Amino acid sequence: MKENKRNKYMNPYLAGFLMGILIILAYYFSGEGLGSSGGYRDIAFGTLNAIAPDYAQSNPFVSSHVGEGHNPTHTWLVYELLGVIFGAILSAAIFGRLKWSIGKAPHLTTKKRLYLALIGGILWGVGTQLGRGCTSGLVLSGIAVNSLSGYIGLVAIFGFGFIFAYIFKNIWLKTSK
Amino acid sequence: MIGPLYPQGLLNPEYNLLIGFLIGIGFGFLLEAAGFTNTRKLAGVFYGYDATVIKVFFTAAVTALLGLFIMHNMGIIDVTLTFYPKTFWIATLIGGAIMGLGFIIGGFCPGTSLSAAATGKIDAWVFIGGVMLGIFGFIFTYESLWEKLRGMGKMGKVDIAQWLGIREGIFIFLFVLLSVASFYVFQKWQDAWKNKLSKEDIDELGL
Amino acid sequence: MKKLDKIIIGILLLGGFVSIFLNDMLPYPHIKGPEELVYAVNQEGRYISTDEVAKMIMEKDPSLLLIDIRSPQEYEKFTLEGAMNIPADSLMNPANRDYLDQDVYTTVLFSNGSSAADEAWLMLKSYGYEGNKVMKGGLNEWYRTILKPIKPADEELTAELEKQYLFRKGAQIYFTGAQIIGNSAPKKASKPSKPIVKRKKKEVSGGCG
Repeated sequence: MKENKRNKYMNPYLAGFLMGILIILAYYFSGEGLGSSGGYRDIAFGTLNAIAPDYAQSNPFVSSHVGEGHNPTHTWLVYELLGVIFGAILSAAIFGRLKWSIGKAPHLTTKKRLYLALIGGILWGVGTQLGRGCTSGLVLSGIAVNSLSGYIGLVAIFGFGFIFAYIFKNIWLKTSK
Repeated sequence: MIGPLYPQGLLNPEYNLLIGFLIGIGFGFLLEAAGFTNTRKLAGVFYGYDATVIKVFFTAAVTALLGLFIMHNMGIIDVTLTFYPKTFWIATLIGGAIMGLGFIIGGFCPGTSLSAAATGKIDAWVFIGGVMLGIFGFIFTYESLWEKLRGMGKMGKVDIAQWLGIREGIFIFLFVLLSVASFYVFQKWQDAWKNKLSKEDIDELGL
Repeated sequence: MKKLDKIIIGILLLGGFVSIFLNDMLPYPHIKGPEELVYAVNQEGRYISTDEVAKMIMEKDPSLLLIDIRSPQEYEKFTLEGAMNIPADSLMNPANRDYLDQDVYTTVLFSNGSSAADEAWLMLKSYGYEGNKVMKGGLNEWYRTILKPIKPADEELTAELEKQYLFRKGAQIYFTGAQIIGNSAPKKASKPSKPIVKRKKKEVSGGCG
């Protein structure tokens, strides 16, 4: 029974519909869009501020978020991310998917997958700060209020995604040689 | 009460953070339940063997857009007072290209990686480590490399329909049609793959 | 296709269809009822005189933000030094909100006369935009008082009027390029790059930004 449940996913339209309702609620109560990379950034700011407050004050990218009257980690987005952790664990527990594993295409070695995950993460770290948000905060929340930047983000991330997917297709597909 | 509540001072900060936490729980639950912690499902959208991402993503975007648009018209929420992302088109275009590359190489985006890490995906932990490294790298090289680029293409708060010079309702209607069309196309693409995937693959992807 | 899929896609299509008939997402009006409107209209405090504007320009007051609400064609022909152009019909464009709803600058709206700028001011006010002023009399008044000041007749010349006249004479030299003859065309104002305005009002920190 459990074996069956593990590969059963929620109806995608229903999941999307409920996610849309959550975005509306976030906007109604807090005036915020769902975001992820902003929370990561807040945590980075907080860490930096704790370790090297002088440097944090002098860096123009960080300075407006730290210092008096600002607590960089006490933000809406950080609390939202904490919620994401709990929510994901809850769902995984219900559907029996809570276990240590590595997600990858079968032909890829584990070592290679981890290296690629690290590089991909670094690219996201830079890309989100430059592009002002990720798939959730920039694109999803941007489209929700019909902002031009959300649509530019959509076209850029998915458009270039398709190009790079073609170039790097041996990461995800077993290409016959 | 006319929303958004917090920016108008109608909600105290503690409740605001609590609401953020609760909405996060819902978001994390849905990401996991829809299969977004499975990196092969995420990558599937780019190769066509799995249409889940397109369906979830566009349904969410369209639902939120329609909901907020209709609520704004009914006088329930003033959307212009919410977090409304400013447009810096050059910075976002280049940043988006970097993110697109990161998506293919890393197999996650920041939100999905957090859900995946929470449910035990080791590669997601490594990915998050990479994101933090990337952000710190960005901070340390901000003045020398990024400061100028990040401000390029500044347009302020721009509504796409106004930018195109058409009525908002017309644009939204067209966007809904485009989304529904994409569901159809990606479903067809996924169906075409079905014979080519092994039984284990189909099982793992839950198709 | 499952039944649930059809229901949700149906809801989306229905919502999209309804959207066609709805209005654009503009800010909500903040003035409710005729009393508030009348009160707002009668606020004399919204006016700033051409003399005051001239003084601020000459002193290069950094808090001054001049906004020409006439058409781009008129703006190209002549405008005030340092003014930016936001035509009246694009005042409500969200992109311009940072200039028109903030408390860092003294924003001064002007048109040829007073009435267009007055209307613009009232519309902004009704949507809750604060911090704007109207240049009284507009560019016509500017021309009459600053570019071609008339010497008051001797019998009504008070010390105050004389001081004002001397100031205007000085301003005339400043703005027209030191011609005492007085009939030369005003020199073309240098077009500014849009200043960067930081809104001080409470703003949401925002998504991933």
